[in-house]
Amino acid sequence: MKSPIHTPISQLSKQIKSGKISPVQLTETFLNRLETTGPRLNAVVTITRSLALKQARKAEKEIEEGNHRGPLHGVPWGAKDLLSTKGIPTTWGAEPYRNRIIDTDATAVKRLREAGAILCAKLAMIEFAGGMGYRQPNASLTGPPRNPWNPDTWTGGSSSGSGAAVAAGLLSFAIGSETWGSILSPANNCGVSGLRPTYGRVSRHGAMALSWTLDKLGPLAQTADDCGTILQAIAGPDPEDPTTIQKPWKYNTRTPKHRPRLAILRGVADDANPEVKDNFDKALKTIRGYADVEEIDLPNLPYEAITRTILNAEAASAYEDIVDSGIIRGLTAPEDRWGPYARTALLATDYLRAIRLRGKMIKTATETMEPYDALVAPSAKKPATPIGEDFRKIAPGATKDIMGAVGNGCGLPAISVPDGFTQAGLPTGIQFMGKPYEENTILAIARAYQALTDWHTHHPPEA
Amino acid sequence: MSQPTNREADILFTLIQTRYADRVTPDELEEMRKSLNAILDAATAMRAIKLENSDEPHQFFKPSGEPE
Repeated sequence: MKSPIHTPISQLSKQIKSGKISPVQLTETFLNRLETTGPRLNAVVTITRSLALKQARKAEKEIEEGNHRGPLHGVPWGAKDLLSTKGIPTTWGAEPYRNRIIDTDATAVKRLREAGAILCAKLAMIEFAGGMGYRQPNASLTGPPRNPWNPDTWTGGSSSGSGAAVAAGLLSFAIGSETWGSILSPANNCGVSGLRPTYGRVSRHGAMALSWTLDKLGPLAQTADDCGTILQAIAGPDPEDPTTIQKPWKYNTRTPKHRPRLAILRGVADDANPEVKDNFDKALKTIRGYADVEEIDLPNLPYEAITRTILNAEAASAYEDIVDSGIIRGLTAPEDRWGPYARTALLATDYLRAIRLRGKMIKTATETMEPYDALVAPSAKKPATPIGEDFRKIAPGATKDIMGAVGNGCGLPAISVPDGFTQAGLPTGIQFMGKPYEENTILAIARAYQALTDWHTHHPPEA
Repeated sequence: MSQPTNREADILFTLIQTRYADRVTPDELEEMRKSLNAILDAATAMRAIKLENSDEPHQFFKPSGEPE
């Protein structure tokens, strides 16, 4: 039997359903990897061994009896440790919450359990999902998240353990969250596929709130196809989260009949690392084989300022009691111990101006993107940075990231997939950002890219 | 729309100092001033855009329940 490690869910699921792979054995395999490799990468907070084996035995019995629930039945997964789980600590990556239990299951956790997936671990993350203003990777109770491609480099954040665990084959898939960059960044740095759904596609109930109007949950997995399968399991309306989109979502694996039309924002890769830019240019050549690609301009608006102000104001409020209590002095990153204080002086009128300008930003993005199926850009401007290096020298918000600002500020879906490697062997990624509610469109474009390339089949050397 | 001035920055920094100066070191306080400047830079960029009275927040209030 071929090793199930790094096997895409579509193949794994067939083998589980046919009885060629035992969910119990599969779970044992991943638990062992989580226990041995996980700590070396600082990728794991809690291994849920007894729960996982209980769920795996149940799955195995059901499948043997002919009750196969679907493609995630018997498939091991891990949750970013901001998803609450009944009876299991939920730390938000923060030392002061090392033993804190939020005794309820997040909706995403419930839905994956109902789909028959096996929860094996709570995964490492940047403390408070980066919401305290961290500037360097050593910002988690589990230590600096190490990249499986080179443990002296960073995984990206804040869904750090989610990216590392999938890349290192510690799990079949993981759930992460993104407020601004927290799924796409680890997907880029770790060389995996990561999907940021449309805002409201996945219930946020039971997930830590950083910014109520920016937070999204989404999958990190081996392939774009896997991401679609996982999204279908966790998407849909939830009375516990009134911001959820009130229509169910179904993953459509059909190839669109029309030739996709993509757009690149003029100059979007100009300030990227040369190797990132080179891999992006090569990826575009491949993409032009199945899609039209045009360069476009986005009308001038202060996109980064709008989205950053919304994030700052909402985070200041979401964390107000936590910050006021003084417990942040116990956080790992020194800059997180004072980082959130400045934004408490943000004026209400500036927040409201940002929310009013958000309407203009959405109108502008909608009109600009209307003729196109997706925008395409490098997932990040640079590959993984050294583990001990500041990835930003100054306060968050000063870096230019128009794709992140527009995408998150307008609640747009995006997927990052690997598009090559640097000379140093670090992965780089390409992102496809779609119109709201059009996850199926960007998934089809990403699947087409992965059908023509093999970057997603490369895996890191054993850590 | 009037832009943030040094005076506005000073007043807001005084607010931060009043609230938190006893919790941080002088170096951290200086870093907090830089963070405040980044926040005000964003405000400057946003206040440069003219808004009409009809430009409502992209956030909708809805009373609870449904009409009879």
